[in-house]
Amino acid sequence: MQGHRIEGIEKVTGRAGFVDDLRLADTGMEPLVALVATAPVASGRVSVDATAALALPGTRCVIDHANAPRMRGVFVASMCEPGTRMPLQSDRIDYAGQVVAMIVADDLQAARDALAVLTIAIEDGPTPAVILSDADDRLVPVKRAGIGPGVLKKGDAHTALAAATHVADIETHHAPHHPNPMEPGAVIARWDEDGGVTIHAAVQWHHIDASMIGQALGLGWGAGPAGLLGRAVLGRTGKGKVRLENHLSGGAFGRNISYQALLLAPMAAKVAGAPVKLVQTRRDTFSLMSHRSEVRQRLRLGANDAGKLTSVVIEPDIARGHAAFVEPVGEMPMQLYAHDTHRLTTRVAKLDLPGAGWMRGPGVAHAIFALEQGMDDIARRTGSDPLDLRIANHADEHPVSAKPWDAKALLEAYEVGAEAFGWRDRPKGGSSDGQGRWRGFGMASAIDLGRQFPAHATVTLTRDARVVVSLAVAEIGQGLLTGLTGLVSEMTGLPQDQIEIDRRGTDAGYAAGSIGSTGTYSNAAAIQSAVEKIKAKLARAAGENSTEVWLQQSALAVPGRDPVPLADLLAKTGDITAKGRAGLTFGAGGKQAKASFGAVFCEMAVDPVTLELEVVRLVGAYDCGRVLQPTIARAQLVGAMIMGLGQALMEETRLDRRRGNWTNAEIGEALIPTQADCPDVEAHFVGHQDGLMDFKGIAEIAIVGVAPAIASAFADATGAVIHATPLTHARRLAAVARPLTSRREAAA
Amino acid sequence: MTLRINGSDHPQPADPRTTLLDHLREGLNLVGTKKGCDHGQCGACTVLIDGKRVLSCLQLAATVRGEVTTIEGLSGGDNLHPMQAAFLEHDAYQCGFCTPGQIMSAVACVAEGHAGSDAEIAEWMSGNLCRCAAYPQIRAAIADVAGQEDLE
Repeated sequence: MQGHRIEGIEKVTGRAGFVDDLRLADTGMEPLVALVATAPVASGRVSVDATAALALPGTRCVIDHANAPRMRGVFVASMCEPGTRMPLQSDRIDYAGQVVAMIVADDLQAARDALAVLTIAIEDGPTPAVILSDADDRLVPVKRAGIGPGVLKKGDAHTALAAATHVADIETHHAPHHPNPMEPGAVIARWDEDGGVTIHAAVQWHHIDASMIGQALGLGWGAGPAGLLGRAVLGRTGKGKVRLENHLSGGAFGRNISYQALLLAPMAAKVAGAPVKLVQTRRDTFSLMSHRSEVRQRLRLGANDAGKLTSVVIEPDIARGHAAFVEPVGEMPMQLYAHDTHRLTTRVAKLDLPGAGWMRGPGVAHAIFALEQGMDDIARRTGSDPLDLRIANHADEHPVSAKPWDAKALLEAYEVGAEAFGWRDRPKGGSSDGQGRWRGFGMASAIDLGRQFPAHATVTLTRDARVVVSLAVAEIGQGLLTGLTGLVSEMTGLPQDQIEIDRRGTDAGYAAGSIGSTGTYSNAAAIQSAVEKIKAKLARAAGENSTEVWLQQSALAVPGRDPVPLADLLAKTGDITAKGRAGLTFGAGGKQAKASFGAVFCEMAVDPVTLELEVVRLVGAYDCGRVLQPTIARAQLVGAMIMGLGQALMEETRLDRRRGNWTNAEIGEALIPTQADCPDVEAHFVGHQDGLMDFKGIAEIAIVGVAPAIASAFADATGAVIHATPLTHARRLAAVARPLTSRREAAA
Repeated sequence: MTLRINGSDHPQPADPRTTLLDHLREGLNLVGTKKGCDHGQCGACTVLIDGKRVLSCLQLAATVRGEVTTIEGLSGGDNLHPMQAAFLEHDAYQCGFCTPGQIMSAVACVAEGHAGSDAEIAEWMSGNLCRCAAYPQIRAAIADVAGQEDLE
C-alpha cells in the first residue's frame, strides 16, 4: 500500500459520504424523510390509525398495508429478505419487528413526531415459536440447507462409529446474533420522468439488488431476472430503469442495508410524489436486516487407535425465519479433516422470526466450533496433544471429492502459529498465572471455501494512458478499491493515480458482490481477462505476434526488443476498450479443490472464584492465497478474529418467547467487542503465493477457528467444556463443577 | 443565543428538543459526525465541547455552553490534524463510519492524559465501538500521537 487506502483521506476527515450524509450537492435532491413502524409482537392482524399522525403539519403521508402500492414477488439470489412476504402487502404479522407502517414527513423530527402518535392495534394471533426448543413440531428434514447440502453420505458412518475405538459424542448450541455494522443505513429514492427509479444506497451486490428492486416494482423484464442474466452471463451493460447509485458502506459483515428498505424507499417516494430518504434506526436494523441463526448440533466422531477419524456424523437443527435462507452448517466440516466415512442429516424449523441471512463465516463459524470441540474430545480420549491430533488427521487431498488442493498450507499454519504462540512450551492448563488466575491454552483449525463468482469488467486504456475500469464493486471497509487499484497498476504498469474504478452506477459492469470473501478474486479475474485483450491489441500495434508481452513503466515490454513506449502505441490505436469475464467456481467445483485455511491459538486467564475470564492472546496463522495489500489484509484478519472473540464470549441476541421480539435490540445491549475486550492479537500469513491470480479468500476465514480455540482454552483452564456460544458468565458458572467461594480456597 | 461550532457562530435550532447531533447533521449539514445508535452507546457521534468529549446524541443543542469542535473543524483545509494523519498511517479504520468519533475521542484521550499505555488507551477508548475491530491499529495511532507530544 502506498501510504494509505484510496478513500483514506475522506474517511479521516469526515468527508466520506455515507447515504444518510448525502445532501443536495451530492444527489440533486432534498428528500422527504421516511421512518418505519414495526410490530411489537410476532403474530396477529394489524390495523393502523393514522388520524393523529396525519393531523401534524409536517406529515406528508402514512403508508400501511391498506394503501401501499402492490409489489410483485421477487427472486433474490441471496435468499434472505424480503422473505416470504413483501413489505406492507398484508395485515398479517409473521414476526415481531415486521414493518407495519411507514411515515413520510418533511424532516427527521417531523417523522419522529408522527411516528409517536401513530396508533397501531393488533388483534392477537397464536403464541409464536422463536427458539428451537419451543419448536420440536416444526423441525423438518431437508436435503439442501441454503446453498449448502442438508444431506451427505460417504460410506457407512454409523457402522464405522460403532466400530471406532474412541468416540466423541457432543451436542452444541449457538445463539442467534446480528452483524451490527456501525452504519444503521438509509436509502434515497426518486421516481424519474421515464418511469424508472433512481436509488442511492450502499449495497454489497449491486446488480443483484438492482434486479430485486426492478422485479418488485414491476419495471419490466430488463430490470428483472432476464436483465440480470444478461448482465451476469452476457456482460451486458446499460442503466435500465433501476438506476442504483452505490455508496461507501459503513461495514457489512452480512448485510449493510435491508432489502426491505431498498423497496420501501421507492414505495414511499411513489406515494409521496417526491424523493424520499428512508432512515433505518439502530433498533430497526435488528428486524429489517438479517441475523445469524440459532443452531444446535449433535456431532459424533469415531477414531481408531491412532486417533485417525473413521467416522464423522453431524446432525444440525437450524432455525430459519421468514426468508428462504438456511444457515449452511453442513457444508464445511466434512472438508477439513481426512476421514473414512461421514453422514450429515439436517433438520430445519421455520420460526416466527425475521429472515435469517449471511453473516461473516456463514454456516462454517458454527459448524467448525462443534467439529473442533469433537477433535478436542478425541484428543483427550487418546491422550494426544490437540495440535498433534489435528496434524495426524490432515487432509492431503479434498476429503469429499478426493481432488488435489490447488494449494494448501495448513500444516505450515500449524507450525507458524504454534511457534509464534509458544504452543509446545505452554504451561499446564489450570496452573496459576501469577495473579491467582487459572491459565488455559486452546487451539483450533479453520477452513473456508475459495469461491469465484461471475463478474464482467470493462477496461478502457485511454490515449493519454489512463485506465478506467467499469465494475460495480462495493467498498464496505474491506479495502477492495485499494486492492484492485494496486492490482490494475501491477497488470498495466501504470501508476495508481492514472487508474480509476468506476463502480457506483448500474451502468458499471456486473461485478461479483462483496460477499463470501469472493470480491477480490472474482473481480480481479474479470479485470485481468480484459487487460490481456488490451495487451494483445497493443502487441499487434507494435507489430508483434507474440503474446509474451507485458506492460511496465508506461511501456510495452517485448522479449528481445527495446520496450515500446505506450504513448507511441496509443497514438496509433486511440482508446482501447475490452471486456473481460470471470466464471463461477465453487470450492471443489474445478479440477482442484480450493479453500483458505488457518490455525488459531488462544491463551486465557480465568478467575477461579468469579470465573471472570480474560482472553490474553490470540494468534492466528492463515493460508489465504495471494495477499494484495498486507496491511489491509492483516486488518481484515485481526478484525475477524476479534469478531470471533465476540461470537465466543458475548454475541447473543435474545428473544422474548411470549412476544417473539428481540429483547436486547440495541448496539449497547447486544454486546459486541469493545476496545477494552480486545486482547493481544497476532495474524500471520503462510503459504505465500505470488501468482497474479492465486487468490483465495480473506474476510471470513479468520472468524472461523476463534470461538472453538477460546472455548478450548476455557476447558484447559477449568476442566469444564462449554458446548455453546457464547460462553456467557452464567454458562461458565453452571459448567464449572464446583464453584469456589474464596481465593484462599482456590489457592489451596 | 448562538452556538459556537468550529470557530463560527451558528443559530440554535428552533425546536428545543433537538439534540446537538441532529442539529449538526440535519440543521447545519455538518455530516461528518455520525449517528450509529442515537442512544449514547456506540460513540460514533463524539464531538468536543471546550476540548472535552461529549456524545452529541445525548446532548440537547440548547444546553451547549461552550465551543463545539467536530471532525470538520479539527484541521484547517487540507492539513490533517496529527491524529488524523496517525489514523491514516496506522490504517486505524476500515469502513470509516466510526472513524470521526474515534478520532475526536482519541484527541481528547491524549489531552486528558489517558494515553500513557496500551492498556490505558484501551480502557479510555472503550466507549467508541468499531465493528470492523480496527482496535489494535487505533491504539497504535493514539500511542504514536501521545508519544510525539511527549517528545515535544
